[in-house]
Amino acid sequence: MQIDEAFVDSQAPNAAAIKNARGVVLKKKLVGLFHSADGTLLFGDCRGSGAENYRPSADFGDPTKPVYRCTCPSHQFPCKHSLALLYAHAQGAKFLEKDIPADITDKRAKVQQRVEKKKEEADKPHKVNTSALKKKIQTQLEGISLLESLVNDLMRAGLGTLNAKSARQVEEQAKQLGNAYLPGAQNALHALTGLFYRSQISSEDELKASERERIYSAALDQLNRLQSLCKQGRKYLNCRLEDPELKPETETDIAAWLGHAWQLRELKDAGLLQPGVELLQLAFNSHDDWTRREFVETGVWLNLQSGAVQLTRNYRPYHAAKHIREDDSCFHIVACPELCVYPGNLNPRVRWEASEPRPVTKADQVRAREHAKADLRAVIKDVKTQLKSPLGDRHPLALLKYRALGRAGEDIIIEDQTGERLVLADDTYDGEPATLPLLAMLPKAVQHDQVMLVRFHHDLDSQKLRAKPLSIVTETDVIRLTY
Amino acid sequence: MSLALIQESAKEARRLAIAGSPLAVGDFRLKKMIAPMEQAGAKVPVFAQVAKAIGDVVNGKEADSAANLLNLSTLLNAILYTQGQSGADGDYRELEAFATSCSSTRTPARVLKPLVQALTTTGGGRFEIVKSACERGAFNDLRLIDPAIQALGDIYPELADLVANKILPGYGPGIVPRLKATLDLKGKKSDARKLGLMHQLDPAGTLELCKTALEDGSPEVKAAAIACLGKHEECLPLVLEQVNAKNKLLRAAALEALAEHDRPVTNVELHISRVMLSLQKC
Repeated sequence: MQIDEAFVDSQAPNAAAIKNARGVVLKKKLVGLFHSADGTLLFGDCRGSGAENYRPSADFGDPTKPVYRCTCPSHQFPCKHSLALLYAHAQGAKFLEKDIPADITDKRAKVQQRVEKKKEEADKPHKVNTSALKKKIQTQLEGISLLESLVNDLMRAGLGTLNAKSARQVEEQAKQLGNAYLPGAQNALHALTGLFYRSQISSEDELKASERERIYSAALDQLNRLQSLCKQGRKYLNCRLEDPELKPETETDIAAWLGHAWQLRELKDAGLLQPGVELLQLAFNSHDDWTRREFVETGVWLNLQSGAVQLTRNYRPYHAAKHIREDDSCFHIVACPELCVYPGNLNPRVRWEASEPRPVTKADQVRAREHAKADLRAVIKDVKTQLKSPLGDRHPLALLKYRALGRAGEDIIIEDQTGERLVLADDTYDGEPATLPLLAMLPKAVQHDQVMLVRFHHDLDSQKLRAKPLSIVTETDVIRLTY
Repeated sequence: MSLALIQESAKEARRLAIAGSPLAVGDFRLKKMIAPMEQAGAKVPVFAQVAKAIGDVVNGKEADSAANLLNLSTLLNAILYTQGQSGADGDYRELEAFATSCSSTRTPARVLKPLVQALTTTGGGRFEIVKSACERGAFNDLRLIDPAIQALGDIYPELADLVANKILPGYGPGIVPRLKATLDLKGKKSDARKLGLMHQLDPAGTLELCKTALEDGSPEVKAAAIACLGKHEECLPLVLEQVNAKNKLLRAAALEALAEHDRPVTNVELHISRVMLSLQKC
């Protein structure tokens, strides 16, 4: 197991833990550093505020699932002492060989027992309480009717009557959707109402007339999506009501639209599992989604086996943000024994239970570049096919090979081998910074025969399909333009 | 495909969605679209679908108007999404490149995010974040250039000076065009910092700009220009002129710039100027 500082950073629950752990190393509070004979356990003694030293350890018995333990009272895992132990190792501190402490041997045995128990339970057939499920589906159908009447009321009153106050009133009514097991539909409605006011409640949360004019097309499009959601959702739920044994739909992402939280077990049962996959992160973004009242961390990954561009999403609701690990950029190859792929379109969401990091090699960069699409026309066709579906993702991503990056008139473009062009433009999706100004600051070598990750966006008012550059994959590195 | 017809219908649907769907029943502008749509529908079936959807809206009941208008709008948007313009005409030109001395983008988001926030917002505790990041060498990232340039105008002057003196010079002359793009010669202290920094990174290239700033700039920018010109021996006469300037800020800047040049001739000229100034005061 190779432990470098980037790996330790990735294990930390938040940025403060990194800072504090580095402080522990700098202040030389680690007074004993040891490793087991087989090298799978790092442990030590660390001076803290108590009379006795803390005993942090990092257990790599299963390298895909490292276990961090410490005798300190912190609720964070790994705590700063365990992280400090890893930083000391990464910085080349000398670790002495020592027998594994008895308490850790006991804990390892217990972990083993738990794994076996879990395995046994996984093999047991999963029983579904059909009467409870029927009741739930019935409630969901009632929720769909409520959503439909809300949408129709908005249309009848006209978007011109919607303002910050009435948008918030609609949100109050939409709370019932959450109670009706439809959190996805509730979020979709928030995406509409959120267009009509600013994030902070203040006297200036009302939009100006010129701003309102710009959002009407997006608002109408969102209403279209909500109506389609009602139609498709009702059809899907009626099918499930007739046959409660029916598994959630995997051909389309309607289940996710309604707010179904996919369990890994369900994805495995549905055959949405890819064994032995390696992923390279191409871009990462974290933002505060105030309409959902959650922090959302999105990773864009390239599946080195299939060449698909896939997404990871980490949702941290405001009220629980402190207790959920904050996701971060990843500069390693993530090797997953099992990768679960959510139902979806061009860029499905993925999740994994266990993974092992390894450094990115030149061969990986070459492999990543080979997966890039060289035919711009075909990619744009696929993107448009997805966009025309009412419930399709409005911001599809693609990895593109380009012959040249430059200007045509006032526009910045990329051009493929056949001379087909795609105009690049910034958008404000997910609160990301603008990336076009960075292109001029890059080395000139990126202007020819490179590979770019872009995210498409279609402006309904100007009827233009544009792409925002997110990263450039060169022979040696991934140049990330967002964060 | 007659895209104009679809766009026109979408515009009408948008107008009615803003006004309220009951107004769509019997709407004459929408009604006018049915005939040409049906005509086009003979060749392209999707137009016939749109004509039918418009008919449902216009001739339907008021109670169903919301659903009918949404059906029409969904159909029109689906068509428009397939017709987005993605290309651009015109001759290909190379992108102007101002390569900086840093092209790394390997700073993790968890480090970058608070740093950008410290550079671009207001509030306490930001200076420490920026200072410690600077000491750790965390600024070696391309994505921090623009936020750092923005921080030149920070309301906390220590932070702005730290960015101007320690952080931005590290990116090299490649950032000069970025600084120039936002430079306002009539601006305030932040523009003065920008000018000073531009001169530090590219002394020969910004000499003319400094001379212009000395003539047309605001007092803060003029003072920065004097400091820059004072580093060029051939420009010392321009600096000497400012020793007698009315503005205290400019006099101070000129004297400070001249103090760097410990030469007899300058001292003599300076002495004469000072004597003349004191005589004028008397």
